[in-house]
Amino acid sequence: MDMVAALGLVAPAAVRGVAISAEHRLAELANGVARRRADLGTAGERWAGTSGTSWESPAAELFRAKVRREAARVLTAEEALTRAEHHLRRAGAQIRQKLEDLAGELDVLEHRVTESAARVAVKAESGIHEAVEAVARGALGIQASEDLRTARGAYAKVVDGSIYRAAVEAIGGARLGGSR
Amino acid sequence: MSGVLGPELREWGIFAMAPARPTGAFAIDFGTVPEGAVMVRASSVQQKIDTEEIHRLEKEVAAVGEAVGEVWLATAPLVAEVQHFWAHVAPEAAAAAHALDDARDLLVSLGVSAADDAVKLRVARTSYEQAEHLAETLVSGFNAVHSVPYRLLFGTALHSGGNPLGLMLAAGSFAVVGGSVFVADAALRGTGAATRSTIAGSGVPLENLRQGIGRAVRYRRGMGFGLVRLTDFRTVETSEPRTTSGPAGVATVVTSLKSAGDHDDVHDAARGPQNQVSLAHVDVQVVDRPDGTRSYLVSIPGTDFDNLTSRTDPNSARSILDAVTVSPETPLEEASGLMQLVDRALREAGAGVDDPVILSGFSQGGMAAMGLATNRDFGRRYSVRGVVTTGSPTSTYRGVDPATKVLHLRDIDDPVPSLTGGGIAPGNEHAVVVVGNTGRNKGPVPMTHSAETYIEAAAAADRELGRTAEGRAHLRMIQEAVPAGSTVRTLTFEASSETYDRRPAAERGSEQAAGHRRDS
Repeated sequence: MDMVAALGLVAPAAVRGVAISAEHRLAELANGVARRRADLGTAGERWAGTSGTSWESPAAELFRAKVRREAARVLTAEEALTRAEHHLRRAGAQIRQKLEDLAGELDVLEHRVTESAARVAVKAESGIHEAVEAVARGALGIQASEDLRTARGAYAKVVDGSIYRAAVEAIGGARLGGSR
Repeated sequence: MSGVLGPELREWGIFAMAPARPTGAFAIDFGTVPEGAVMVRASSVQQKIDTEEIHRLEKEVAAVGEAVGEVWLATAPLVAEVQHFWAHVAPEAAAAAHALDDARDLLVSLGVSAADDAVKLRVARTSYEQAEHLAETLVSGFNAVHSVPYRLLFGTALHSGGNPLGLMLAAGSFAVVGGSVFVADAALRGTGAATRSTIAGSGVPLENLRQGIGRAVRYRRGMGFGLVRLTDFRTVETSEPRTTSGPAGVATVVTSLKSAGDHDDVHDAARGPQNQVSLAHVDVQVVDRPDGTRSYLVSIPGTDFDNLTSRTDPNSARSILDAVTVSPETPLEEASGLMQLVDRALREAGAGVDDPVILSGFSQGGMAAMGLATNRDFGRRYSVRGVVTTGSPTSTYRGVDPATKVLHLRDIDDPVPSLTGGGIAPGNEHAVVVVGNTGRNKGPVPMTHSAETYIEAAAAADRELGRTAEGRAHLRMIQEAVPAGSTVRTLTFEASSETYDRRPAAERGSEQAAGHRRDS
C-alpha cells in the first residue's frame, strides 16, 4: 500500500519538477545566446561605425567597402543566434510539454492503482471480517461446551454426593416413570 | 589559388602604398607623378590627423575582433550542452544547435576578418609614418652621389695648392662629373629632385646661410640702412567689369597670374627701355560678390627677366634676396619693394581690414605672397584668407596663420621651388602642395618653370583637390572669394623702387639747419 502511494504521489511531481528545470535551463541557454547576440550587435555597430571615418585614401575606400560587407555578415550571424535563441525557447516548451504529458499519464496510472488497491482492500477486509466472525463464533461454542461440561460435572458431583441424589433420582424416576 | 591570392595581394599592396601617397614623399622625391597628372600632398596637419585616425580605426577594429572572439568563446559551452544533451531530447534543440553552428562559423570568419583589417590598418599607418623616412633614406643615396662632384672639386682644388691649372682641372672635373650626375638624375627623378640632391650634396648649409644673411639684412635695415621704398606708384590699367559665370578655382587664380605677368610685359614695353628705372606690376582683382560684399584677389608675377639686374625693379633678381630674408616681424617699410607694392595696391583698390584677400604669386611673386601672409604688419591691415603660389620656394615662410589656407603648385621638373633648400616640406604644417608633371620640356634637363606650366596643371589640380576634404576646403577658399555671379574688375598697379638710408632725426635736423643757412 505505501509503495503504491509512493508511486502515485511522488513520480508525477518529480516529472513535473524535471519539466520545469529543463525549461528553465533551456531558457537560461536562450538568454545566454541572446546576451551573446547583443554583444555581437554592439561589436557590429562599432565595426560599422568605423566606415564613417574621415580618412580619405584608396585604402580607406577598400576598408569602408569591407566594413560594409562585414556588417552584413554580422547581421547574418546575429540572425543565426536569434534563430538559435528561439529554437531553444521552443525546445524548453517542447520538453516541458512532453514531461507534463508524462506526469499526467502517471497521474492516471496512480488513480487506477489506487482504485484497484482500494477494491482489493475492501474485499480483503470483508473476508477477514467474516473469518474473524467465524473464528469468534467458534470460540464462543467451545466456551459454551466447556461451561456445559463443567456444569455437568458439578451436577454429577452434587448428585453423587448428597441427599439431593435421591431426590434427583426420584425426580428422575418420577419423570422417567411418569412419562412412561 | 592565384585567382584568390591576386585580389588579396592587391589589397595588401593598396594598404601598404596608398597611405604613403598623401605624404608626397615618393611623388616629389622620385618624380613618380605620371606625365600629365598631378598629385596632392596633404598638409602635415592632415597627415597627422589621418595617421591618428588610422590608429583609432586600428584600435576599434582590433576591439571588434576581440569582442567577436569573446562571443565565439562564450557560445562554445552553450553549443556543447545543446548539441550533446538537449539536441537528443528535443528536435527544436537540435535546430538550435544547427543555428548556433552557423553563427559560430560566421563568428570565426568575422574574427579573422577583423584581425586582418587591424593588421592592414597597421600597415597603412606604418606606411603613412614611415613613407617620408623611407624616401629620405633613399634620397640620401642620391644626395651622396651628388656630393661626388663637390668632393672632387674641393679635393682637386686643395691638392692643386692654388695652381691655376689645378683649379681649372678641378672646375672642369666638377662641371663634367657634376653635369653628368645632374642630367642623369634629372632624367630619372625630375629636375626638382635633382636640384634638391645637388644642393644637399654640396654640403652648403643653405638654411643657416639664409638665416644669417636675413639677420644681417634686417639688422642693417633696422639701423635705417639699405631701406627700399616705392616710387612712381600708380594705377596703370582698370579692366571693364566682367561677371563670372561659374565658381572660381585654382585654374582661375593661375590664369590671373599669367595675365598679371602679361600685364607686366605689356606695361614694361609701353614705358620703353627701362635702363634707368624699371617697373614692377601687380594685379588686384576687385570682386563684388552677389551678396554685396567685396573680396580681393592679388596676382603677383614672377621675376622680371627683362630687368634682371635692375636696382629699381621691385621684382628683379636683386629683390629675391629681400624676399628670402624677410621675417614675420619685419615692418612693411623695411620689407621688399614687391611686398610694399602689394600693400599699397590693396590700399589703393580699397581693401579694408575685414575684406577677404587672396594672395597669389608665381615664382618670386609667390615668395612675396608668402612673405606678406606671414607678415604681422600686413596681417593687421588685411584679412588674408588664402595664399596660392606656383613654382615658388616656400619652405622659409613659416608661421602663416592656420586659418589662412595655403596652396602651393609645383612641377617635378621645376627646380625653383627647391632653390632655397628645405627639402620637400612646404614650410607651413597646414599647407597643401599640388605636384604636377606636365612634361612640357623634354630636353636633357627638363625645365618647366613657367606660368604656362601651371596653367596646364591647374585643371588637373582642381580635379584632384576635389577628391579630398582638405582639398575641397582649399577650393572653397577660392570659390568663396570669387563666387559665381561676381562682378570682377582688374586693377593693374605699377611702381619702381629705390634704396635709401633713414638717417637719425638729429642728423636730419642739422642738415636742414645747414640748408637754411645756405638759403639765407
